[in-house]
Amino acid sequence: MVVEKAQAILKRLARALRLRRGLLALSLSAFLALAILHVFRGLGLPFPYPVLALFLLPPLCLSLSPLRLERGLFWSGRRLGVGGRLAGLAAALRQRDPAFISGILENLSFRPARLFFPEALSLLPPLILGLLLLFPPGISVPPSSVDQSGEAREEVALIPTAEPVAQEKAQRPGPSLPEIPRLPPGFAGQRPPLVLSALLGEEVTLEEAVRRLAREEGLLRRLVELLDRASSHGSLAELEGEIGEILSDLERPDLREALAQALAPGKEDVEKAQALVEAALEGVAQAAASAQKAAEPAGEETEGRVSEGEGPAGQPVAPLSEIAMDEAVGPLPRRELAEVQEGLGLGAGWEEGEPVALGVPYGERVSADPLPTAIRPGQGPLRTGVALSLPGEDGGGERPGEPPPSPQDVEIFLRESPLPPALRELVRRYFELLSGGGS
Amino acid sequence: MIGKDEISRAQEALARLHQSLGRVIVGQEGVIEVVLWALLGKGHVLLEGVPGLGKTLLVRALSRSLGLSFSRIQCTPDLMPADILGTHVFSEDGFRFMPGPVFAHVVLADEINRATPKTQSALLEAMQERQVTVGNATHPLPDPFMVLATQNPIEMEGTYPLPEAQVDRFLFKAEVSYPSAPELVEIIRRNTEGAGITLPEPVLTREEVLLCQRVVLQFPAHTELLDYAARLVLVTHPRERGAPEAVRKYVLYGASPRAGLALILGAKARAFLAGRFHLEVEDVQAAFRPALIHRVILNFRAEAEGVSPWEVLQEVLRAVPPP
Repeated sequence: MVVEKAQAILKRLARALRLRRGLLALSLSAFLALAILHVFRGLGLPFPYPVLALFLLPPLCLSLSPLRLERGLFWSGRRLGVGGRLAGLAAALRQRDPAFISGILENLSFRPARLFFPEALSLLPPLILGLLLLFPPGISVPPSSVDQSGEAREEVALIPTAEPVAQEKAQRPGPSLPEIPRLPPGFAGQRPPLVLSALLGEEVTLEEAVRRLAREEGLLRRLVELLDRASSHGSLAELEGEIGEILSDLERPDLREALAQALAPGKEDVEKAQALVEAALEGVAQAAASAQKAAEPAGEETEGRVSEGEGPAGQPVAPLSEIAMDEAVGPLPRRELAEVQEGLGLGAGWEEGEPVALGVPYGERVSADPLPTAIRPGQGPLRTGVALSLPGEDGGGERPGEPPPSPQDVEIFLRESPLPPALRELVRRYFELLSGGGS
Repeated sequence: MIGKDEISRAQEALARLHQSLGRVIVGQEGVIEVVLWALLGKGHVLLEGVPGLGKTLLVRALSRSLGLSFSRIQCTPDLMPADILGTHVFSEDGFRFMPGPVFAHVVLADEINRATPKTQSALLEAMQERQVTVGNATHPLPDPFMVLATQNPIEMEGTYPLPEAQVDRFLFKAEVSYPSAPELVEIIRRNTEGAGITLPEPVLTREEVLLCQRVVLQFPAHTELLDYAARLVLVTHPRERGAPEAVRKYVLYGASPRAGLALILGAKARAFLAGRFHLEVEDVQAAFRPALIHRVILNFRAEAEGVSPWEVLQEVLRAVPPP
């Protein structure tokens, strides 16, 4: 009776040890299989899944094959906290000595589960590899703490990550289109100021970001026009200088580089450049819109009111959307107003609080058609470029068929005009005040 | 086949013996234990220590507790083999054999290193063969038979150190150490107050002693433990593969196979004394020192550098991984 009981105990122990051996082999096999699977996936090669069955063979064999129990009895006893009882039991069983067997059995109780710890932890590495296979780290989930407004979600949908783009590209059967520069990775899940910072590649305030985005948009629109013109003429030669200037002023280095490559001498792929600029323009317009939205306190500001944000110099600035080009400017800070008046000779007969009629001395360069009452980034044909130009005395407007002057035009115009440097600086300053601190 | 009840009875008897010796001997727990291991393993013990540490008292107390016959041989240079083994004497009936003091269950050979090699050899032969041959007749020694020899390690003048082959006959060597201060106080108190030391009454019968010896011999030992003991013995040999550096450097002769027997018998006896039915690795490790300390012969270099056998054996113990 005791002999059978002892035999059963040793059989149970042998089974547990075999299982433990199989578990260790399984973890090793699974780790190897998943590692190879990762390598195949990384190389983009199809994995022969039936091969996985081969990796199951070693653990199965080791679990089922007989075990030399004698070798592990002292080790098992220590692990199970029963000391040399198991070895003593085996020795007594070999001698068929029931007195010693029963003596040992009286003080022998153990749980074979203790044999599996910490070996069970060896399953962790393959488990982690498996999880990485199921959830590749390339897909970033937006953190729950950030504002998950509809806008942000829209951005996620509008601006796909690099991986789906690559997949889409791979699936596309036709001729490959030029690669359109996208917004930086991680753009979608962030709040507008962070998005803008990411877009501009540096830490900026929201106002600064709005200003720079507007400028970028203006440059891009001007570039579109120039490229259209080049496309219609069939040559880039005469516009090369201006395009080069615009390119050097662009904020995004990746776009700058892509365009420079597309328009490089000898290549001159205007169509690709147009596609690039259009795509970038779209992204900038979205970013600017979201930034503009973020800049407005929800439900408090109404259209037409001047924002009370601070500009780069700590001065109050009006967002681009609020600049009324065909209206009289509201009360300006006393010092700035004095500068304006002094520079333009408007001080005579003016009293404090009286609206000031602004104008420029070179009306021929300004379009005669009236400008819209408010200019917002991303809306209408008149963009930042127009907003940053000098307003006309005749109420503003553009001549039919002639594009509105861009900041670059104005800058060139100012440089070429025979104005003294101080006055030129004053005009520029005046312009900056109107555009809320922009160049 | 021994029954479980018999084993329990033997364990109880041994516990009584242990207790009885503890009442007489102050301290020296380790020595008492080694002596009991030797008794249970049917072996002999070499007790080494300076005079006055209670070696003789221990042997006398043991023999009294066991209820067995006891004889004492005070070894001197003029002691002859016949003085130990016995001799034929002429009487009215002719020559008859007169047994010597070796014909007792427990024999104390006091200061064995003072006897001449011839006498030592005669005693040691009796220890090994458990019989004495005088003339044409062979006389068996009583069972159980146990020799406890003492030797003084400091007074070497006029002594005959035991040859290695003869030292090997002792299953264990117990080193009797000097008592601690509280133990010494207790020894003084017991010897100077009242009637002095009284030897214990017998607590075991001869049959019980034999039963205990049978149980220990039948004690199951796992093969892994036997392997461990064998490896411990083998690596004491300087030419053996896996021998530690200390062995290669300082050992002249390694332990004999009897050391392996001593290891396992000591381990079994220790487990039995502890009331267990199985052996632990610690049992073998505990028996390691008394089983091997007198069996490893160090070379001149070790002697010159003051290296003790135990220092070398500790390296051996570290070099062999337990099962």
